[in-house]
Amino acid sequence: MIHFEHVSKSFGEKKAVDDLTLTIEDGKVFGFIGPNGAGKTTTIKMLTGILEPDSGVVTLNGVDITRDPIQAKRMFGYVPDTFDMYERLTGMEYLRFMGDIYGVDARKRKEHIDRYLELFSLTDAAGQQIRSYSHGMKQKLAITGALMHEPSIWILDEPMVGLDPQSVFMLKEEMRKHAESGRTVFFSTHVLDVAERLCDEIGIINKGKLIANGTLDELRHGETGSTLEELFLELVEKEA
Amino acid sequence: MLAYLRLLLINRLRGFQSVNLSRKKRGKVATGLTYAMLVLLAVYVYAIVVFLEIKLYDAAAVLGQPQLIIAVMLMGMTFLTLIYSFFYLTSLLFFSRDNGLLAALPISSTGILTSRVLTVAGGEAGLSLLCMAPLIVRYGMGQGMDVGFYVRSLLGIAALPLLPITLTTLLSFALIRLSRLWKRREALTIVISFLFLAATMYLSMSLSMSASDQSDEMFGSLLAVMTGKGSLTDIVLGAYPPLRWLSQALTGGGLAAWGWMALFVLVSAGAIALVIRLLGGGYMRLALRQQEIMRRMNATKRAVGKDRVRSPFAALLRQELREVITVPTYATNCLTGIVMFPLMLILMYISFQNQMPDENLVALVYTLLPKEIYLAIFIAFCSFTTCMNMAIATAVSREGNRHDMRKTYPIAGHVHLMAKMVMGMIFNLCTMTTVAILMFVLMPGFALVTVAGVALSQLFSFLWCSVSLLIDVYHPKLNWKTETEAVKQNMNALLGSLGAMGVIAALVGLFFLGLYWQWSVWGALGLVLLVLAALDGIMARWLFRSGSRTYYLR
Repeated sequence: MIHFEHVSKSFGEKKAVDDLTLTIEDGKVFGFIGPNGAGKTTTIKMLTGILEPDSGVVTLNGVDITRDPIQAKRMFGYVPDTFDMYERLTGMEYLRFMGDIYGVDARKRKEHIDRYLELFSLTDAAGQQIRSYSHGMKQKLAITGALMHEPSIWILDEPMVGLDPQSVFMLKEEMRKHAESGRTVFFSTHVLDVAERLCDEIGIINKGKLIANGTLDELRHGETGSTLEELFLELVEKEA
Repeated sequence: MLAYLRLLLINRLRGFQSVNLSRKKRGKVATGLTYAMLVLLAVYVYAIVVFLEIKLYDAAAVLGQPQLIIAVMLMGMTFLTLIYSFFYLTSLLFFSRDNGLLAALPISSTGILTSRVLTVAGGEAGLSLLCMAPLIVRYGMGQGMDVGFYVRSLLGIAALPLLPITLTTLLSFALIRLSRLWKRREALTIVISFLFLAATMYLSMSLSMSASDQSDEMFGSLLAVMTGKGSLTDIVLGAYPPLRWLSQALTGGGLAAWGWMALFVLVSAGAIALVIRLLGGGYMRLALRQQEIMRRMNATKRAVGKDRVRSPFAALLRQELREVITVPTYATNCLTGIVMFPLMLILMYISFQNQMPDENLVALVYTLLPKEIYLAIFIAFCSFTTCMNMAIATAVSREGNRHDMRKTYPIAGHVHLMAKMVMGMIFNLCTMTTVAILMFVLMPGFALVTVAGVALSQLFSFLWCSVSLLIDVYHPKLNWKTETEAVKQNMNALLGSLGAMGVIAALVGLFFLGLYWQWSVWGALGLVLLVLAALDGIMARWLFRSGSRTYYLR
């Protein structure tokens, strides 16, 4: 479970996130959408311990990320929007490095690596240096590394960008399976069709404020739009 | 081309803004204090430069040869430019990440080369001006020079880096063309760079030793240089005529001085223009081909090898070490100390033997130095080698965009910092061990003292690694595009080096204070080591407590 309690973050005069209160229950795929510069990445950075909130509390499975960062960080796997890792390592060396960081034993990491490399058709490229990878390949490697320790919470920032259709399908399947096993997926996206079909709950953020939150049916309440795209445009325009 | 040159200059100038003190959570008082400390440090270091230059000028003036100091400074700045611009130019010309983007823009290949070379020349000229300004002013006042002298000085110093940069540009191109023949291109780049450094140092030392070949004692040699009775100036100016022209332009007067200046500026500008004209047309093609070869090599499959589970600390440490050793820009900048100091010893020894084949250096040292003095000097020397450790001074900055991702690892901040500290100390220890091995060979009778020296100088190594790391933890330069920006254009590295030299000077001062109080050498040395140990404790506490908190939640 993820919980934000009156979380705010400012950069100078600009309020990037303004009094965000939000709970994402276990077993849900949560889609976080909003226009560019709305505060999505800042929210994710506070959720992952990269940024400290100015006020409020962020908890993962009841653990405060600011008070007990190490324990909280063990609970999630994070895929950033841009993959900028140790480019001189080979894919396999990077995955082993992530295994060491998360303390994954040799047997488990082998199973995981074999499974995901196969799933993402990366097995052949595992011995090449990361700097020779395409953006999509890097993204797949980042996902494989982030999920190495089988975290209960997945935090994915624009995970589908750069992926080929087959890999997008695979990833969506994995996200669904993860939620169905009673765990949590939090992801941000600009692809509203994906969010509409994949998410159990959706949060819309604009200018740092959470302007809508709930299932698609709940979002439709009181609005005229029927698709998520129409609802999104309507809500953002109303807020403006 | 002008637009690109402007962009490069702005980019270079912005590099100096990396010491960003206006953190949101920092109070006004704390920010003010930090600024004040940085300003004080800068003033302190510059004051040392001013003091030394004025003293050297005064000494030369007393001996009736003030113009020699100008010549020696010009020679020094030329050597510095030669060494620094070689590493910087090579990475800027052939390892820049924006080469691909630039190739798609409507800028000529010659234009790109010109802009890049001029940017490096500008930076080196600025540094030369900063270093030489006190001496120029002192000389001008002392010799009652007119305004023309200052104008000529400005012109001359601005043009001073052009000839060494012409040479390094040629060498960079030669290096890249040659290294295409070998698979391990990056390793070759590193090796050739260090060979170049060794050659430059050897040349410099040979010239210095030649100057002292008429004297039997070190003081005598120095005096010979100062008085011009030694042949240093003649040799330097004779071997490198442009420097003679510049020296005459600065120290002379009237129309002749302007004539020499015009000759120097024209030859310097002409040489660089000629090289750019000759190499410019094919430059981008070569740079892109080089990147293409790199790309092909990167895509080569490597043996996956056996999996070995490591602790998070060991994994981070391995990654830190590996990064410095395998990235050419990092290796050439961060490992300079490891290569330079042992090389310096070997070259000094060879030069000494060449110049004075009848003298036995070892026997001379045995008779001159008691063991405790040797120990003190050796500790100071080993400590001095740490000043060159850019690996630790840029350890956080080098993370760049990866820094955010590292903060999401479930690892305490002090473990991240510990891995960096150990990496820095390993590099320091490598330098000291190589120096110690050389000392074993050259001075076997001092073996135990040498071992003790290496062990005791770890106290300083720890102190300076923690201070450098703290500076970089609080003010990392994370927004960089090229690896050169991360290390070479990083104020933290400069602050770290200069600060280390300042602390060593203070500790040496403390040692002499002990002697002044009539303590024995052992007593004075003990005092220094005690102070060092106390400082180590304070710094460790600061780094691993508040420093580590800053590291993973900024």
